[in-house]
Amino acid sequence: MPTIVIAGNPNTGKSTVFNQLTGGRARIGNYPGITVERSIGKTQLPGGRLVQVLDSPGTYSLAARSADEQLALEAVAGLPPLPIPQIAVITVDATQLSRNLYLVLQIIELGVPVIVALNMIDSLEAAGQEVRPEALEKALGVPVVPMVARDGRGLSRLVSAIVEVLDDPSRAKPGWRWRPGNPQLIALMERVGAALPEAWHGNDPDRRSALALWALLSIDPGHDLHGIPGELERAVIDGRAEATAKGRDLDHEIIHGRYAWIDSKIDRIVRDKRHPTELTERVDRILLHPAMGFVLFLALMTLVFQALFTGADPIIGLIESAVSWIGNVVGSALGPGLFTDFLVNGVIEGVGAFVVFLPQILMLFFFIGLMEDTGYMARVAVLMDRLMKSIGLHGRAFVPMLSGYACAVPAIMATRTMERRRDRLLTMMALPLMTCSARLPVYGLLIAAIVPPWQEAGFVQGLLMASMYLFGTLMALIVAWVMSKTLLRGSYIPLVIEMPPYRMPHWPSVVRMMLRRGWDFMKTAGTIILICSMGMWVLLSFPKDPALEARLLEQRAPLEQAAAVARSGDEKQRLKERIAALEAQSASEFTRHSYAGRLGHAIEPLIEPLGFDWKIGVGIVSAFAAREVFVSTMGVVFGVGEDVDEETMDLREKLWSDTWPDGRRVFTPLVCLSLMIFFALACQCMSTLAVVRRESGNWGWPALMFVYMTALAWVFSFLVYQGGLLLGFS
Amino acid sequence: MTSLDSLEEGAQARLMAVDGLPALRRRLMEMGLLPGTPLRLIRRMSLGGVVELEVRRSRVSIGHGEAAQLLVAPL
Repeated sequence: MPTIVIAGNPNTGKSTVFNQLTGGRARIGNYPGITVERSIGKTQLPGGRLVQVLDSPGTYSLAARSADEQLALEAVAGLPPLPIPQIAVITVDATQLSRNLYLVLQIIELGVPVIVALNMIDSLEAAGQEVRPEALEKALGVPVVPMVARDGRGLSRLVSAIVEVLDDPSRAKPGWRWRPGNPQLIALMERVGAALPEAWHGNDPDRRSALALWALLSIDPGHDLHGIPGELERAVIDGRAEATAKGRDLDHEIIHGRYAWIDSKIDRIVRDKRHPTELTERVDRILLHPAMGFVLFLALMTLVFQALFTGADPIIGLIESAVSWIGNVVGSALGPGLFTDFLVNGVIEGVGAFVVFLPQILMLFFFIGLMEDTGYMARVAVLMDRLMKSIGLHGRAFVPMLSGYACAVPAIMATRTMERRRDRLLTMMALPLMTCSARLPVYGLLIAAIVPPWQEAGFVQGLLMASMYLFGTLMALIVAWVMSKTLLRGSYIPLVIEMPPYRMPHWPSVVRMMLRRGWDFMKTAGTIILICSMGMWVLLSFPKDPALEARLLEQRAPLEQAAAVARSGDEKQRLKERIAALEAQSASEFTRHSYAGRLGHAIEPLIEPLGFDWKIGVGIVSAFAAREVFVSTMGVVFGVGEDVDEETMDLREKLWSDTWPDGRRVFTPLVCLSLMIFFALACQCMSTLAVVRRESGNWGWPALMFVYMTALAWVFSFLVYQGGLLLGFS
Repeated sequence: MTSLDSLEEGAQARLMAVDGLPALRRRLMEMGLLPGTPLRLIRRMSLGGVVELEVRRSRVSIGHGEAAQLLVAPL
């Protein structure tokens, strides 16, 4: 099957073109030997031919300094084991033509047939330019298709160009190649070329020269590339050293050579109509103003955050009621039984567990799509770069980090706005420490538990809540900083951000992107969450205890009979309450004997140094489903029933009077604090792990996340509890 | 000759030399910041730590650290 690779600079609409060619039906795989995601799709061309379409990482140049960056060359050139592409479709930002042509020249040098997708021609007006596609086509000698990829304009012409080139590849292979003229450089290229593995160039002299130039601009002493033979490394390093000794500047010779070619043609291709970007300049004077720019950005972020935090709430509530309504309907239609329980509490609740994330995911991606589409996202990176860089993060990491206050799941998906995998991973790993909204009910319950139930929460309690927010944020920043210095060091990337002209958002493509992200989440992370939910159901529902069930039935039956014949409403009400209390008591006993309850018992020795007893252990185990489940589990364990929240008086009273076997109180202020610290740091969220698995492409990163967060939580809770005891607190 | 970092807002200049470690230098040149290239400084944002340029008909923002590596002759 012929292979078509999509290449291009970052932010040139590469993935839009990819999605449109493949109809969005892409398989997500990893590059061989390295866990960088790549999309592979298939499409049927007019005439019935089936082709494979590969995405490649966005880059300004094929030259690479790390194994990650090397993938662009491997995908475009088709180095083994990847297939040599029949066509490279290069997306090009028409408003930034000369820089984009640098990559086009490199790919033409390789001898791969090229089609240029001249994208964003609708922004030329705003940029004050005019581009003549015929002139570009003539200069390059390859087909040029003017496009506005985000609304599909030019797509059918791109498809017919692909068909034509597959029929006759010579249409997309210009007779010329850019070649260095300096005989010394040519000799060096031959020397390096001779050291290249034959499998790379297949004895094609043009391909060999192009790969030799790539090696000269990529291999440095102490490089981070993979699969570079020692012979090649020596040839490049020796050759560069000799040239430097003679006072030559190889980098400049090669890069200047390409740009000189571009500069000699560009004025025939691009015309300036007026002074560029007047509107953009005026808008930027406000949006990038040293003071006002920040204020406006923070105001916008407040709005986004507010929408995520409170705006999504009613919809989330609606989804939750719908899920429990469906559960009830199914439950009463099927009647009680193990299968019903599994269907209602395992499957339906499990589906609800991930559908509930959708409102926030859709909202966040709507805002991000808007910011990217209008060109504001580039400004965000500029505004936040210094601040974020001081802790090792990318300027664009600000939006995901902030979204982490609402929920880590959409926030982790939002790391995709960053181009580099290292930046994405770093943000992803630190982000779940931000105080998400699921921690709130837990903090609420524990803060309330500090004061006796007969007292109102006061000022100190509010301060404690604010401190927990601050603590989570600081820990996230510290973890990001530490990881950026150690595990995810990554090479220094110069900050060069393109500033596209502002434009009106294209609503259909914003909505399409938003829906695609939502669907993506449901399909991959959703499946994992569903499976985890069913696992949690098993832990909490087994083993069954027939004796306990029989006893419940036996004690409930007379009360129900009495309630059925009770004459006064008061009497009826009283009996109903007794039934509910009986059921709650039985549920409590049942949970204690379930696998989750036994797990709570089993981990008691581990958590006792933190001040936690086995009941808290059960809560911690069940909170792995989602942090807020801790509150309802406490309700069940303490026999209050599962419909509780942090304000429920019964639950607060039970917590207050709960004691260790020796009569000491369990929920002392120090234990509550230790437990809050534990919840601030521990990775108590299967959905976060599922979405990290989805975004990082393997289980290694979520496993590391779980381990480091749990370890951090244990150590900090230990220090707080034991330190507190030493200082005489209780 | 002066470093790009010290240009006035709105000033035009020609890039004369690119300093810095080989990998950084190469990256800047590959993005079109080559000796001989004319440019205009649009704005300097001290809080963001960024300098915005107009170069080769497009606008780019570069960090202060990078800007310090670019030597220019004001036009």
